[in-house]
Amino acid sequence: MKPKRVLLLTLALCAVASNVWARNDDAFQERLGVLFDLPFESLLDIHIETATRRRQPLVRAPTVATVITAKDIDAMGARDLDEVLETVPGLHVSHFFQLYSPNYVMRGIGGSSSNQQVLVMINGIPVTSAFEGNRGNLWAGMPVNAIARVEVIRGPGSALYGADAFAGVINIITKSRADISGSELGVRGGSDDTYEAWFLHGGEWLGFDAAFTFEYRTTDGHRRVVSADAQSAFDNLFGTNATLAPDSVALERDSLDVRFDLSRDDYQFRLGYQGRGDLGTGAGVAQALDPKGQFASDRLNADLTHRRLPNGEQWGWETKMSLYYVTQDVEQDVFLFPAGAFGGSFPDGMIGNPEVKQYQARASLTGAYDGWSDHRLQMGTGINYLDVYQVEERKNFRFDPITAIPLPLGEVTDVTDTEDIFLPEKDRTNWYLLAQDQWQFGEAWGLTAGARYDHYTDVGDTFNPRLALVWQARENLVAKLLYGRSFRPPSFAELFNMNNPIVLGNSNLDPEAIDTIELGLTYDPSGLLRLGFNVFAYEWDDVIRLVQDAAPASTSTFRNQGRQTGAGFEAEMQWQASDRLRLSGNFAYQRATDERVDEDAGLAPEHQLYVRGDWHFLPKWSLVAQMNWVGDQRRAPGDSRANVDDYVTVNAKLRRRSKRWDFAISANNLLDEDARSPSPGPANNGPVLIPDDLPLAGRQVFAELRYRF
Amino acid sequence: MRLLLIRIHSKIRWKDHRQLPLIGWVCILVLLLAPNPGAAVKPPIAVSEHELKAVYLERLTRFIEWPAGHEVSQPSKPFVIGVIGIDPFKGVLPSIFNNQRIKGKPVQVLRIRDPADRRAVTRTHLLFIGKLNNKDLQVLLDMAREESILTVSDTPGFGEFGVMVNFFVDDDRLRFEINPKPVHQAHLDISYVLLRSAQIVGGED
Repeated sequence: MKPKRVLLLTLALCAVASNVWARNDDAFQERLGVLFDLPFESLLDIHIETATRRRQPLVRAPTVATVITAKDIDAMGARDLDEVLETVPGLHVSHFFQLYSPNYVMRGIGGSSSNQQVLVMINGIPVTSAFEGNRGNLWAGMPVNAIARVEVIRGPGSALYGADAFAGVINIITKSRADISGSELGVRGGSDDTYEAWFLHGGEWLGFDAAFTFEYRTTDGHRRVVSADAQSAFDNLFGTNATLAPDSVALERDSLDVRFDLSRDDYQFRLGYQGRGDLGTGAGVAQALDPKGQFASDRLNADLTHRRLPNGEQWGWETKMSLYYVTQDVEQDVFLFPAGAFGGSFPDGMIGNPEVKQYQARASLTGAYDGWSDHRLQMGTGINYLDVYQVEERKNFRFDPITAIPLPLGEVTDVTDTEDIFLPEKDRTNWYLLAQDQWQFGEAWGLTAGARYDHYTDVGDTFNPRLALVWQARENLVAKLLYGRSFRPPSFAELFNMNNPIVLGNSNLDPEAIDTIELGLTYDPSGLLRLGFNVFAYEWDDVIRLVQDAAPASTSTFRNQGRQTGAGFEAEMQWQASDRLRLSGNFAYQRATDERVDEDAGLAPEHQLYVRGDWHFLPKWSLVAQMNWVGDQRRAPGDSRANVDDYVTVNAKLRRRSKRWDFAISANNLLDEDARSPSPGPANNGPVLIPDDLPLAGRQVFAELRYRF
Repeated sequence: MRLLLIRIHSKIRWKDHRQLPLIGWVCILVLLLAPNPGAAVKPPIAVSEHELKAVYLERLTRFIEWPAGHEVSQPSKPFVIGVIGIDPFKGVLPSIFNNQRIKGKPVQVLRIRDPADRRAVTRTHLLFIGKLNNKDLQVLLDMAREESILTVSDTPGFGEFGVMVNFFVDDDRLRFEINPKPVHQAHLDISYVLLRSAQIVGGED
């Protein structure tokens, strides 16, 4: 869904004017007149009233949003969620050195370490690891064949979504029966020994609307080389030569994603499994290359949703219950440092195998009341229980409590349930209340005011309001002014990390908070051209950072310290140039300041330009080309390296589509650009451990075949 | 609320953001000064399915070209919509199109009871086919092919069977299938813009 449509929908949601529903002829004709005048694209997003169910999203309101549909995803040739997200204005996907986990950097926020400032949900349910505060470092991507659409909200969302909806919200909606007509079988193969297969089926089963999706992928990953790593730095210190660098990063991985979706009447039940195995360590878990270590992860989710309208059309209810189970497992011993590390103290290498199991249970009840003219009231409550219930570790070292120097234990030893473990087993309960009113006043004005109160058993209370003023200035021009406050509670790692030579938790942490104001405009001069522009500014307080402890300790502890401010804008355009050619693109600019030192906060591109052309040059043939320019990736304060080099990647997909068969060839980074993602700066006045940054994939070519039946 | 805004305003230090390029503010200005083609229009929240389908009937015609010399291109004649089978519009189609024009022409709605009524069917330019048995449907589709009539339905399976445009509901939104084969056989020209938004069904064209 494009911004114009989002705006129209948003306005539509605001407009609960009783006269619209009046059954007199004038109102009837007036309403129809509005519909007849709407652009075609907007018609596609009009919600239908039905006698049995009026399912408008119960928790939805004016925001700056982008929606990418399955059709779009397929057209652009994206194979993974990350490739889809990179096309969203103001969103850049960089990578963390551990397993090359994606960092979804939105509006300059989230480029450092664990990327906890973006809430990612699948079907409205967070997939946040309580341990790390992000998706978990074993997230390892998500294939896109089962995705019906991806909704991205830029800006704060805690007033509706609660924790972590900080810089933005990414909601992935998976396919249900209506999204899959019949069956589809697909295979794809290409560079880096990548092979994928998928099967989708939608149909009726035992009286249910049923959907089943299966996706399998195996890849060796790109083998781009890191010239020097953390062990290189230690070699300089100890006069040894233990480093494995230069060598390639380890990005091999297998993944299996299976989903069921059953619905009947007002009930919907979903069950999903995301398995990840043979997960290479990326640039190593301690920034020292580790070609042998491998992780695995199981993620299971189940949810049951009930939506109903018990009292005619005035009240709507949605009840949702969900369970999410995640593991972090070690398949092959993980080498923090290679054989010969620490002056030869570790002849077999320094091995640490951390394993974590957690589950999350959530329940929510949301109601919407439409009984008053000009107002739509929403209320909700819910409870979330997050439990990191099993923490295990096997390792061949422990740390000297005073000097923090690693001491060999001889062989790999199980330190589970001892004081040498890296994290205690902890749980967290969070309950909340939310209320929101959407008030339509005058012909063209809508005001949304809402707030959510969250209580946490471990980090206290937080209150997050939002305000949105939407003005439909003209038929084709909508302006909005938005304010929102959001929060991010500290992760268990930030609260409780221990027995780590560098990183220690702090149980006194407060949640981070951010205030954002935005001004958004969309303009639709004709049905074929749409323009969007929005400008934002934020102030991020109580930033949780690693702060070096007082000498002689060599450790750093997480602390709420300082403030980051930022501002920028995003501009976007879609143009149906002709029946056969569609051009779209966006440009995003942001600057952020670390107020402690009054320097650029870094770790995010200042400029980003994305351009895409869809050309249907013959009835069954299409060519889609994309260009992405990432510019001025500045360093964080204290990192004296030059900026990460700007890069331009070009992707293209050529496809022949017929009724049953699709064939496509796609290429990513067609020009084989040397693209890089920033590696962390120096910690505790030490050296930069991976000085030449993290190399990204070069040219990759894939061929795919689909069969529908 | 006012207090809240004031508090926020005082918290965010605008001087920090002076670096925001001029181009941003210029864009805002350009958008605000953009030409105004009409008065403010408020879109309704949600509409009934049959009303939206009616609106779509008109919209479809914008993306369809009838063959040169066809009656549709004669300005003196009204645009005729036929409804046959079970009427999902609950009889309100004539009042919906009371003040609307299609292809610049006034609209006439014709309720057809008998699928074998060739004279009535061939008067139409757009034929909405409600639930009907396959035998009658086939008769209608044959006539539509010969007379360049755009066929539209909202019955599962009718798209595959050979109706050109077939509505369905997905996630509370109205969607449609297009079967290009009968469209081409009827010598109608269909825009890519429409195809792009549709689910394509039917045999190879």
